[in-house]
Amino acid sequence: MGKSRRKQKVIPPPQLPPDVPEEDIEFSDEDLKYVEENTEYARFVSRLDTAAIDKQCGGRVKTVEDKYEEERSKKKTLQEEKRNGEILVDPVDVLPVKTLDGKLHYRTESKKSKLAEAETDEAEKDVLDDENILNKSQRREKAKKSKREAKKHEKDFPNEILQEEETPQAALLAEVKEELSAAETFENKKNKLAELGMLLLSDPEANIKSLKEMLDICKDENTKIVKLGLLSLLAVFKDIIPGYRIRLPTEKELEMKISKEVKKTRFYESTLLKAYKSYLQKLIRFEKLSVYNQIANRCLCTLLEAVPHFNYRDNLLIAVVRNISSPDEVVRRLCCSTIRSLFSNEGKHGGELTVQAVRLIADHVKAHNCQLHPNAIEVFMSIRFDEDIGKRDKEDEHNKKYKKNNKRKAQEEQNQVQENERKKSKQEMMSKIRDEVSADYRGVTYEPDAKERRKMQTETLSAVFETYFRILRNTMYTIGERTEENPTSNPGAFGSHPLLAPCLDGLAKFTQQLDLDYIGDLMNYLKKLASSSSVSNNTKQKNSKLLTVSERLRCCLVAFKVMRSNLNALNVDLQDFFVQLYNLILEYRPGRDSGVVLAESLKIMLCDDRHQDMQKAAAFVKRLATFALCFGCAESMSALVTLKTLLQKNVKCRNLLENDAGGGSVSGSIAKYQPYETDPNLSGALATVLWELSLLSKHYHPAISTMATTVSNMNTSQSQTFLSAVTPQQAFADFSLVKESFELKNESRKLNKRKRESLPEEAKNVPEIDMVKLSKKLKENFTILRDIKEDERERMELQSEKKKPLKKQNNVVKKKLKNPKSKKKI
Amino acid sequence: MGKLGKKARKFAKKNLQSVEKRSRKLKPFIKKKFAKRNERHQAGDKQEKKVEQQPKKRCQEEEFQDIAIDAVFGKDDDEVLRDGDSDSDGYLDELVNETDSDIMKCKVLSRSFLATCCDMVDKEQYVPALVRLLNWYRAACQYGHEPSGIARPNIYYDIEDSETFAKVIIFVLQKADHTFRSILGLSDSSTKEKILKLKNNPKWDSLKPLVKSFFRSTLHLVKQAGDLEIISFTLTQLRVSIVFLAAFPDLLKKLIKISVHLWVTGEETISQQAFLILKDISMVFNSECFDSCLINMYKAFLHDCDIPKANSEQRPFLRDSLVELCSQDVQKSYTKASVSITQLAKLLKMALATKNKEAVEKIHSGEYINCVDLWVNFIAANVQDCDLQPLLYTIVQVINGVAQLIIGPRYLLLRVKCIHWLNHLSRTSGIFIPIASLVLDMLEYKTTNDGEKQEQKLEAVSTVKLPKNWLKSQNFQEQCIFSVIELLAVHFAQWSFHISFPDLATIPVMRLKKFHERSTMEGLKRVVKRFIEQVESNIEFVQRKRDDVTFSPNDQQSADTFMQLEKQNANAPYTQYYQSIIDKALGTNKKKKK
Repeated sequence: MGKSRRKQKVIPPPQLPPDVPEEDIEFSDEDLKYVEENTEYARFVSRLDTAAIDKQCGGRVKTVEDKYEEERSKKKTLQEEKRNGEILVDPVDVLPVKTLDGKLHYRTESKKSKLAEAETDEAEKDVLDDENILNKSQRREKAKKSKREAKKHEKDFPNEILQEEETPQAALLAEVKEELSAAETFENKKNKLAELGMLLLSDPEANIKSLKEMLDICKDENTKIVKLGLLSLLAVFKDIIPGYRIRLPTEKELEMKISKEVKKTRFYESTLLKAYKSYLQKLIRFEKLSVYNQIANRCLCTLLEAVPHFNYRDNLLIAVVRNISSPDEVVRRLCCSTIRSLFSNEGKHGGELTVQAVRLIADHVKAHNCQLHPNAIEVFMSIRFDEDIGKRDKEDEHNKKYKKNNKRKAQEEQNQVQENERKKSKQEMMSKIRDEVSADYRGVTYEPDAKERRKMQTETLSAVFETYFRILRNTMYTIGERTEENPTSNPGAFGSHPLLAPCLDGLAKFTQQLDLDYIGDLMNYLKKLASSSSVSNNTKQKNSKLLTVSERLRCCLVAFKVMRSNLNALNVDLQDFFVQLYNLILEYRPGRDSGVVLAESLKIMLCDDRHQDMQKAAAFVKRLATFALCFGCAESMSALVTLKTLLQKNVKCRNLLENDAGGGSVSGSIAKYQPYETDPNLSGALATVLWELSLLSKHYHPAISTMATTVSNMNTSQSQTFLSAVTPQQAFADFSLVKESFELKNESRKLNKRKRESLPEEAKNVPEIDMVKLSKKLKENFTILRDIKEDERERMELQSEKKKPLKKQNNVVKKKLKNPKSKKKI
Repeated sequence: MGKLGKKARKFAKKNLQSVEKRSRKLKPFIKKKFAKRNERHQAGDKQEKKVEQQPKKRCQEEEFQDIAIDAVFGKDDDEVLRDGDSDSDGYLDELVNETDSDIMKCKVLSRSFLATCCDMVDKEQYVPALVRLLNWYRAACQYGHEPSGIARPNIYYDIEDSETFAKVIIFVLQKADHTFRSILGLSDSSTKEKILKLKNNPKWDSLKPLVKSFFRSTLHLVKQAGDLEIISFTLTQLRVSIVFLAAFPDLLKKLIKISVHLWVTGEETISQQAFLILKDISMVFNSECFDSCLINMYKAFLHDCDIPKANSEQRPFLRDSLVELCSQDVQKSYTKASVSITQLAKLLKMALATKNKEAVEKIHSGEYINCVDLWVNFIAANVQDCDLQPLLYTIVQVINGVAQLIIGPRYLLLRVKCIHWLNHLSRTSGIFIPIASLVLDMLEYKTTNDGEKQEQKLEAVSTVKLPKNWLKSQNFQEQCIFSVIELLAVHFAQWSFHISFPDLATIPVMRLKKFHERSTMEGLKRVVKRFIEQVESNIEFVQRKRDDVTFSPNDQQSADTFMQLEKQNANAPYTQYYQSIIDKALGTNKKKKK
């Protein structure tokens, strides 16, 4: 719109001098002289845009390229001029007019500027208003947008155009603004956010005030805008938050005189902090609303992960921990991974947050009575406990202290006499200041000394173990509750014992850190938990609160791991756990229970156990063999591997492989094998023979059958000390169906069997056919076919005669329905 | 249509749509495009191998969606179908007979003339009469299905009445083979090679068109006839002369197609007869046609599995007959089976790894289950005589995978089926396949409400997945327990005299006892108790016997001979008990079918 108007207003170029070929022009001496005299005047010549002049004035026909060229150069100059705060001057107007007497006339600048001013149209003016904020590209965009709007407007109301052109600019603008659709406002705000964000990122010190503006945008009603705002703020904060914690100046400090620089920094910091605070408040508020839950949590988590050293981290942590067991999977994952990263990157926050997080989680678990998602506890697995924190430091320190003390002592002795109060106070002050400085330094560097770190670690550990023990106790309590027939307490949303599995895993991992005093208790708990189900079997009530086989196996496993990691320092009887395992093997159901756990318990409890009672080992050998007969190949294989290891370790158990008359020479006190006995020591397994191997060697799986054969061929006399390299876990994994390759070995095998000569047999298969009936049927068939044929012919004839009596046609149709083909479909 | 040259006819086939339409009308029954293996077949084994290898290679790169169970054997176009049809159905020339009696010129078949004709053919093998007779036979076979609108004033064969119609068909079908053979001087047990040698025989030149006409007419009759008995009679008669088809590969192919179709869709007798034809074909023309028959049947069978039909009880027959065919040439079937089983395994692997719905559904499809069923039966039928160990191993793993893919009471029937398969394979191969854990899991399929009594018939269900509401019915629980007992009985019956039996039965007995303790349903308790008692007596018996033996477990030979004598007698109470359970189960299955 504007352009066209401008074109109209352009003053027509002055009359061109008559077209004279250049060779014909003769410079008079006067001319030359004039130029020489007034070199300044001629400077324009060098600046002349000959091309533009040509285009404007020459009779040349403008091509499209030329037009484009013109447009571009115009724009370029326009922009340049604008930037310099100058006024547009069309090069055409700059042309001087040479009068007949040889004098050049120039248009005065003021005149031109007015002209140029008149040319700028409303839209552009609008743009100019914002010029100081917008950068070039955005300005262009804006201009484009307003043009687009205008265009749209034109399209919508073509009739109004004429009127509008006459209305004053302001009114027009207002109207245009009113017409802005929601989408455009959205677009606007988005752009605004982007602008502000970019500004902040490019120069945070100068534009720190924009934070507030961005926060204001987040108050929008449009959820999309709010989300975008939150995310942009997140990006900004993540970038501009300094690597130190901001401490707001105290009043005392405020009173002090300070330099401009410091003032500026203080202002910057306080603004940033304020904005950050209100941002966090907003986030924490939003986090409870379902609409913003995910986005707010993402912001919180990212911030906590990125700037765990900064102010208000406690609030962040609290918010994140609160959502650690969120029913929303995305949020939960996010929170958990954030906490994990906190644990694994302690350098960022000096370990303080670890303690706090663990503490908070412990409280969370307590508050929810252990009904949380397993992920909430699994994060503990990422905590690292350093055994020898600052051991070296400690030694150094110790030495230093010793020396210091010595020195001090000597000094004191020396100065004892002349000791006066003034000096003393001075000394105190000095040390105080030193302490302060070092404290400040520490506050900045986040490197707590070893002592502190150890303290934090103990705190963390105690919180972790508190949580674990709470879970164990809670599980025991719920099991106990069940026996008292309490049907009201129903399992939570996460299953009956959601935290038990990760808790046991954690216990197994951190068992080394566990205080010896607690181990006794822990073992008792585990024992009770492991045996929990066997008690309940007597009551016929099935209850979901029962521990699963996997969980009970895990209990046994943890018990063994605890014992082993403490080098069997404690004299705890593990016999009960063996009994449990002995029975749990039978409770195992593939698919329902984790075979991996079973294999692991076989490994830890049987393969790795050093001194085993012969009777017990034999019982396990027998049970495993029996087990292998009933289960799939993965389970069978891991059982057989364990069995083999057991036999290799216990020479006497190899008697099971031999059938001595009278049930074996080493049979214990029990003369006969009791397969249904629950205690391995009372099963009398030594009296039996491993007949299972005989059937197992017929197993369909070639690996199992060879394994069974090798086991059955083990020598009883020699002590075979080599152990098989394969662990039960490995065997289980290798032979599970998921790993099965199902590759058929396509050897070219000769199969001797060919044709079966069974011709006489076939003769029987010939059905008896009643010829009379058959011929009758054939006759019927014929009649029907003939009828159809007749009808067909008649119809053909009729058609050829172009006569169509309806009656006959109907007949045809009726008879056609009797078509024998329809019979066939039956 | 007048008699066009062969090329012209082919051209018409290809380019004239009306002709196409007509030919489509003529064979409306072939609804499904059976993938055809056309000329490649005759080209010999070299190409055949290529065809087999190609899909295999492709499958390795394929996504599972693309792995179709029946895509194993390559896809061919249905060009052949047209080619087979394209040969003219023209009448035989009767130039020879021009000089003969006047009656010969009569184109309307009368009863009396037929009688004389028959007589001449029957007694003297008089060729012109045979030609005449075959022409009429053709007319009879095509009766009512002639190309409409084209009259043939010069040679127009008509049939006087229904009597003659019936007689000409029956006579030709009954006597043609015999007549041909006696003219050519062949015995009844001539082989394909002899037929092929006939080329040198001067008599063959004159007889060849007659034989061809006979076959073509007969095929037409089979295709068009609507009546069960006509078809089955025709098929029976056709079977005798299959050897002659050696000279007409196109017709042979056509016959295979028709027979496969009839085999899959036809009723019991027709299906049976069609199968016999296919079997004869594959026996007589072993090298060329075995694959063709097998593949066509395999595909038709699998395709049939996807269509829910009323006559699903015919499926076992289809399966058995296919197995029978496969057993004809185990060597060839072995390669087919291994390709197919690899496909099954691939699908299963996909499902096990992803557990996504689509993949699991594919496993539970009728196609998959029936394919497994087919190969299980094939292996079971042949494992005794041939070394099918790799196939056996893979299929057992596949079945285990299918049984464990989704655990839950809703898949009870599928699991029962899987265990049946395993038992079947184990029994036929003599290999030990553990099933106890699979079976015993079913004991723990608990009903949520014991008191709820819903009488529902389980028989009506043929789907893999049971409807949810059934799980609560008491009937369901009963079904579970009965299945457990039945399957265990089969398993135990197989190993009841094995030296390891007491150990094999230990865990199942413990589990059953536990169930017995816990169950509240008296009826079931009684059944379970009886079973436990029988098994325990079996255990005790074997235990007593094995206490006396002197060999050790590593002495496999002695272990194998252990108690073989007792096994022969098989009158131990528990053996009879197992047998009674198995019989009972079979009985109920049969009852279900009825």
